Amino acid sequence: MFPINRRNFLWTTSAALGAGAGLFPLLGRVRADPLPTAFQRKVVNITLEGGPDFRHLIVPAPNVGGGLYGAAYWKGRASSHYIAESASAAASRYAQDYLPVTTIAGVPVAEEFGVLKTSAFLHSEIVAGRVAIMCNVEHSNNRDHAHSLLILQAGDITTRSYATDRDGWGGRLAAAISGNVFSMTRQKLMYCNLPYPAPVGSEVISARNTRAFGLARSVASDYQQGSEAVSDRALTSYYASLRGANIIPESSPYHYFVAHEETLRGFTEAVANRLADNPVPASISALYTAPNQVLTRNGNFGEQIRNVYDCFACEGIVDSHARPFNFRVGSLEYGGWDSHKNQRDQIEIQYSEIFGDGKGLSSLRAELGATMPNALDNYVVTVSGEFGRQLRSNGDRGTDHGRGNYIFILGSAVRGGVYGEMFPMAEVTDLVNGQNKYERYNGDIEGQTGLSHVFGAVADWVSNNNATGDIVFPARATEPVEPGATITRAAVFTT
Amino acid sequence: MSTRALIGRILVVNALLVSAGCEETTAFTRYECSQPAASAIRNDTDPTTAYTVSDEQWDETAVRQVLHVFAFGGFATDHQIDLWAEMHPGDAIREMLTFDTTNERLSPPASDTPQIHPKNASLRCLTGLLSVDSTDNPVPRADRDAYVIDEYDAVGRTWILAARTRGLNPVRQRVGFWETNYHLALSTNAGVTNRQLLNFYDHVMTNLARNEPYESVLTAAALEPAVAQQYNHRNNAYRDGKFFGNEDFGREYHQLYFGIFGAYDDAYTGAMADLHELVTIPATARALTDMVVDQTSDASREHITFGTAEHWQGTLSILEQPNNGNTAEERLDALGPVAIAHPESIANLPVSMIRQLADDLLDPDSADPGVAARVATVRAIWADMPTKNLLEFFRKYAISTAFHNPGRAKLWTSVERNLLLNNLTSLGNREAYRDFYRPRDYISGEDVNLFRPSHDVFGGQTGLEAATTANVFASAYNRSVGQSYSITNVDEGSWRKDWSTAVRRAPDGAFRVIETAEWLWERYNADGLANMGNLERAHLYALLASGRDLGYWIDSTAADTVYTLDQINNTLAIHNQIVGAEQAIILLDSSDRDERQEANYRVSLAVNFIVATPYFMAQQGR
Repeated sequence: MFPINRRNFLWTTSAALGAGAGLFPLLGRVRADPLPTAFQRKVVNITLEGGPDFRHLIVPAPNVGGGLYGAAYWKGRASSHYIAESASAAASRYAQDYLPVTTIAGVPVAEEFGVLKTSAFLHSEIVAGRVAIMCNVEHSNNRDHAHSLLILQAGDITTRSYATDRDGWGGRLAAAISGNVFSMTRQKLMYCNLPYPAPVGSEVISARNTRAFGLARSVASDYQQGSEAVSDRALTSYYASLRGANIIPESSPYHYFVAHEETLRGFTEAVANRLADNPVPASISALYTAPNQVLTRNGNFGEQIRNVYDCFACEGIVDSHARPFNFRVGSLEYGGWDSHKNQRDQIEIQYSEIFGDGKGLSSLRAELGATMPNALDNYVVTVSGEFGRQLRSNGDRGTDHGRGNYIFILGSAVRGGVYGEMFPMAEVTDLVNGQNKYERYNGDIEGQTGLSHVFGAVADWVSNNNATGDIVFPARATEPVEPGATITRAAVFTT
Repeated sequence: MSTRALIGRILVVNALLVSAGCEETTAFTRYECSQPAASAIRNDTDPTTAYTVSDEQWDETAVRQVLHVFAFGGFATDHQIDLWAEMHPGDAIREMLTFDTTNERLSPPASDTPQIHPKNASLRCLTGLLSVDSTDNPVPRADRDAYVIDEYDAVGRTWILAARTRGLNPVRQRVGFWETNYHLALSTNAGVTNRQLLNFYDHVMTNLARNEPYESVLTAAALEPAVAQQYNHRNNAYRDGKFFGNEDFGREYHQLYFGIFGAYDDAYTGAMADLHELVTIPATARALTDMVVDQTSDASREHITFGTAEHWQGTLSILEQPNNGNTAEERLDALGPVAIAHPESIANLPVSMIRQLADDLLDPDSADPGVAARVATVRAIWADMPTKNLLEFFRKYAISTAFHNPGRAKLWTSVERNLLLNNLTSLGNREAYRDFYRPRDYISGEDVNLFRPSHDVFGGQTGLEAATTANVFASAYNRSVGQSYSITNVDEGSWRKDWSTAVRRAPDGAFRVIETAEWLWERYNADGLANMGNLERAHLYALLASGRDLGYWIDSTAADTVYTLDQINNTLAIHNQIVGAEQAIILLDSSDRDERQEANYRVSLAVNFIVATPYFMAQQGR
């Protein structure tokens, strides 16, 4: 006869394998814990892996550049828009599928542009003046996905191609302000990596599933001789002693796991307590919950939105050693942007899941506004990919790898606008062999502004200190800014 | 006719037989696959190099480390491991690492289920075999349909059962998984069909097992329907003097298959490798024209036609060399030898392969002299092979000072760790067929999906990602707490766990706590007991001697007490209790059923503890 309670086993198994109830009911120590009302500033960074074609999300009106630019764009991009190479087809596509932007925060824009109708939340935020569109950002000096992703996440164009374990700009920012980085993704991104050696006061905390956060505990006294209770006590005790004896040095590959155990154990109970009486808002849970899951392409993005919401909800809690939760940097991702073929089918639904009304970012803003309104002024969202696409569509209704791209910064504190030349006329006036960039092979967006300026301004704002960006991005002083553009905290943010 | 072409034609004929309904499906034990797996060609090349470790360094732990990395632990007996440890490393590794469907020394057939004939042991054949509806099929009836070839995730289910089946060669599955989920990654999420993927996997492994030069293996892989489906160059065409198509695989062929990024360009200044970007990549995309994969049906998608009518005409310049051919096949046949000999490939390919498989910290840009030395060794082993042969490379590396090196760290991915746990814990095939340890579920619970790599063609979860993602650690840890039953269960229906068949006996023939604890630690962690300190011993002795945790064992009225290492070492009563347990007997061979089960439960409890320690999450070289 073995001291195993089968019912308990089955319950915990179903919970941990994805039923969503989590392991917290095992704790049995839940108490009421209201939502916070004051928030530190934070940045929520979304990495779009694959090279997103933002020139498809945001397009020129057919008359841009006196018609010269618009005509070149719509002709060169006809196949990836699935239209004929004609002015009428372009006009029709633009009218049917794009929402025009003619003013931002009430101020007329220099040139009209359109935003995919299915990304209506982005459109409304742009028009409301809560989106900074950073143009012609230099992302990469190559077109290699893996290497360019490292460059993006490090915020450093000199990053080497094998440097997967180097520090990311999210980690550096957190370290600079003694905050924590919360990794909301399935696998932690390099963006989160703290500088080495790890700074005191900053940690990377895995918030992959905030509703099943941390380490399991088995508590029922009548099971105290069962394998769950025995294993729980054995492992809890073992790790505590292991840490106390400081047996595993930071340079050891085994140190990763000791550090995880310490971080997770410290916050397990506090997170559970805070979230127990604060359910996931319905519009957010609907993003990822079957059978009527709103985000049909990528329900995990909905879960990440849930994680962000919950991390806001956990503002102010402390762990078992009285260390603060300190959510200052969040890391999200949405993959699947390598649109070499059938681009519309692939990416338009993905954009809608991020930027559509009632979808990811829209739901997050709405629910924060409803339940934690003071959060709205204290977070910004950055959206970027590792590179842009070539300007001329290829022969497979898609686009091939480019270099430069846009970056979006969204938030109430953002001074909405277009930073840099949204549709550089040089792309259609500088001819090679008589061809502009929408006609010739290999033309792409020329990077004119360093990543350090864009993300550096964000770092300055998050920290409320204009010197932070220089710490997080040492190259900011020397990297270029597009002529005519001003990318500073004062220019990009209102607070 | 090349071997690749011959194999390809045989498979086409067989595929037609399958589609005509000729598959034999009467019984598991009489099953005859209509596309039998090809036999391997022995590779007796001496793998000894200037970098081979000494006979003294080549010991039981060294053997186990190799098996953990290259065989998901393998199924060799302790006796066989001792034999290998006694042999010269070059001789041992030739027996340990092979690519055939079976390897009886590494993976002896289990006695509790019918043996699988080697000819039925290709991945594709296994889908048919495992889904046979017959009473002699050891797969539970309710699970068989999941292995039917076109079922959702049938490839993943079949592969993960193959990787934990005694009698099949786990090295083949380990390398096959790496090739198809990392190096030459494809994804069923990208429209690749199960049949395409199974063929791709089996063809790659068949070509490797037949000792084809690696460039031929890669060329054959690049010409597979699965690849044309994934990257969509099946639509690349040359019409009316114009190219239609994408350049996706035109780039990744060089980067992913051969490790050529374009730094060879003389004009490369950091701004852009113009020659690579402007000449090689578009030319390669044009070389990939007129590769038609008929989309009519799943069966038709298994075949590719290399046409001439819409194939690019004339000479192309690829990697600064002229490339000619009437079809895509002819052009890639010509290109493979150029690519494999390219200086960038010589430098990068061996490093990226070993980094993915065995050494997560292998960074060619590292300033650390230890890392630089390992990189140099890996490169030298590869460069010194006149003909690039993957098996030979792995053998040479696996007995080299680069592998047996304290600077090396293999951070287990979710797939590797869960399969290690399964293979080291299961003592027969019944545990695998009945899915007692559920590795696929736990891997999925750690956000990893088989044959749907998280980074698409850039591969699945890396060891570094697994190690640095706290949620992955939490999943592993939580299993040992909230779901410890999944490991400690020793009694299910008519099945009983019997650790006495595996655990090493003390010199007096008994199963004693100290020997059992050390045997388990070495079996799972393969570190020569380097990390088995007094803290670990205290906990394991408590579990094995009493079936209780250390805190409860020492004082049941204060079971939550944390005993520090200092207390364990220096508090006399505690120290004596721990040391006193060393010689306690575990009744694994008792004639009393309840006593045997209690003993097996204690051993499993110790396993449950070990697999949640940091030392089971990674392997550090020695």
